[in-house]
Amino acid sequence: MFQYYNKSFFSGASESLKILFLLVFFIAAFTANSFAFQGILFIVIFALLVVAGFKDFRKLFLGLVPFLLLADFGFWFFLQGTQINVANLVVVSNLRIFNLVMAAVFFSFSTDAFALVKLMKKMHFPEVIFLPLFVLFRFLPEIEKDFGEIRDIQKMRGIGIKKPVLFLRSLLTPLFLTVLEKADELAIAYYLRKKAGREL
Amino acid sequence: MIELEKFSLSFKQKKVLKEISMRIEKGEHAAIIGNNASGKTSLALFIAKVIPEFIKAETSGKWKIPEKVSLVMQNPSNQFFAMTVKEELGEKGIAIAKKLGAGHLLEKNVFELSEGEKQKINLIANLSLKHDVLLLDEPLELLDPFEAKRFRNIIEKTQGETIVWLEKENSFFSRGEKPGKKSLLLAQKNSPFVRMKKIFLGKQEKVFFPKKKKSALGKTILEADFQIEKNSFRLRVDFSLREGEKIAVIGKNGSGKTSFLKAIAGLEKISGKISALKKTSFVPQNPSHLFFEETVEEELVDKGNAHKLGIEALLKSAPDKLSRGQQKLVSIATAEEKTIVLLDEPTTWLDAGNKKKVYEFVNKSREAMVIATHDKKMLDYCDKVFWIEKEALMKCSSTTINRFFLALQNH
Repeated sequence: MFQYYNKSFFSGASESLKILFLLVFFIAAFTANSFAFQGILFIVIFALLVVAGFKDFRKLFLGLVPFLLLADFGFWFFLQGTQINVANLVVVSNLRIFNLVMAAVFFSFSTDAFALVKLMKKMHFPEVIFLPLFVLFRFLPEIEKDFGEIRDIQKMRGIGIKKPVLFLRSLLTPLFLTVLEKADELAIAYYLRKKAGREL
Repeated sequence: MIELEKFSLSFKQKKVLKEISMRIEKGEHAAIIGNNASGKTSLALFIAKVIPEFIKAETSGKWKIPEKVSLVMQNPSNQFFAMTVKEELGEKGIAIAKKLGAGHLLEKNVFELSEGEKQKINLIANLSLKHDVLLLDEPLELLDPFEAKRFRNIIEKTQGETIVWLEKENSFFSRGEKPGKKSLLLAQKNSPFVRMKKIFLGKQEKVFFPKKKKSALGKTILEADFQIEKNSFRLRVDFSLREGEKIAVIGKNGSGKTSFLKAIAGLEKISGKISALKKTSFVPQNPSHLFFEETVEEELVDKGNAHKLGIEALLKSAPDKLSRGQQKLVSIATAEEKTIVLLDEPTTWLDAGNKKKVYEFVNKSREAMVIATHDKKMLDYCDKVFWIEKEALMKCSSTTINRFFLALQNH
């Protein structure tokens, strides 16, 4: 789903333009509550991903299904019997999550994380903002790879979607530990590099 | 340069290092040798001042440590900050890379590199930083013998550096035996690695490995004739496995050993046929990918494996609180009985004492096993050895085995 920087039609566009696009898109996706508007956003970002040369749509959609199911179950569990139209909420929320993730995928797919950090430093962004963003975009593809391996291993151990709570725990606990492990080593490497006088 | 006197270190009352003393002079090459959980990495992090400046710990004793330290850790991928080798190295690093014969890698993306090349670039990036000491924390752990040899050659070429190399086994720095003898040693006589000053963390006991037990082979339980094709990777496989048989698979980093195991486990897309009469149990190289229960006991399907691997004392422990070596043993214990057991690098991160437990487990087990490994000793407990070369799995002669593993010795 997440892939490293791909040279495409959009790689020539300036990083600042891409950041601006991402911000506007995120705000729109977060605030729009109508099915029609979320649908338009979906078509726009889907088309952009196609033009950028992204091919892994099947993986992207299937990868999101467990999280969407969890969220939908939460909506149904907590909101049934209230005046809120749960069916509409579920559809719009699912579309919203798709749109946000697809926008992040588009951004990471068409933007060089290193160039992005350089730009943010040039714009005098505080380290506390650009460093986590850099780490996020730099490591998302690797974390996704780990996630795939964890899912395969748990599948082998006979843990499947039929027991949703156990299934999610078996995926998320090892993923969380793996991410922590990576974050620890990365933080140590960054600390030593900075101490030696070399920035990112 | 580095001086420790009765130095102790503990995390939340848990003592990791107890009253150790050592002295390493400027320009000296030293090896710090200690078993799993002996505190090697904590010591490296202390010398690098990551402890206590970045990670809190209680320390006591006297010490004098350098201001600037470069640290090469086991997994280079977690130390890269840039996408391209050029950006990762910077101007100074590019000059060092050219000097050390790594100029051909400069135009590459860091993720296109092999594990060995990644570690080489990681080393050069660390050499390019201002530093007084270069710390190497088990840098060869994830590399095949060829890649390990190339990495070591670079270390031999660096001049005027103070180098501290942390390893699990003393034999790693010992004089090599004659080719043909079954040992995997890093150094030959007169190599700088043999002359390294050796500092021991705890007692290194002589470990006697078990003798190979004759496998009782039964009927054929797995027949495979398939091909894996994904992106530019291809692997042709044609082999069979009998009940109780142990098969080892060797090959360079990236040759497809893990993909081969996953294909047998049904986790890879293949064209062709795999017919198995038994289920499979797959144990991954990285134990962190496995655990999600609160105790080790809950993770194990066959509790008897805890006894076979000598980890009964860990049954009530939380898997994420264990040391890397202990986690590795627990991960192997998750293999189920009456299945075809697939082990991916089962002895990585283990010291000699823990390796012995894995050899005994493999040796005594009645299950059929397929084991991907870089550990030559493991081959002694297997009935057949295959190797992956030129996009195919092929039967391996003892000459090929020696050629593969002697890469470390002959230089």
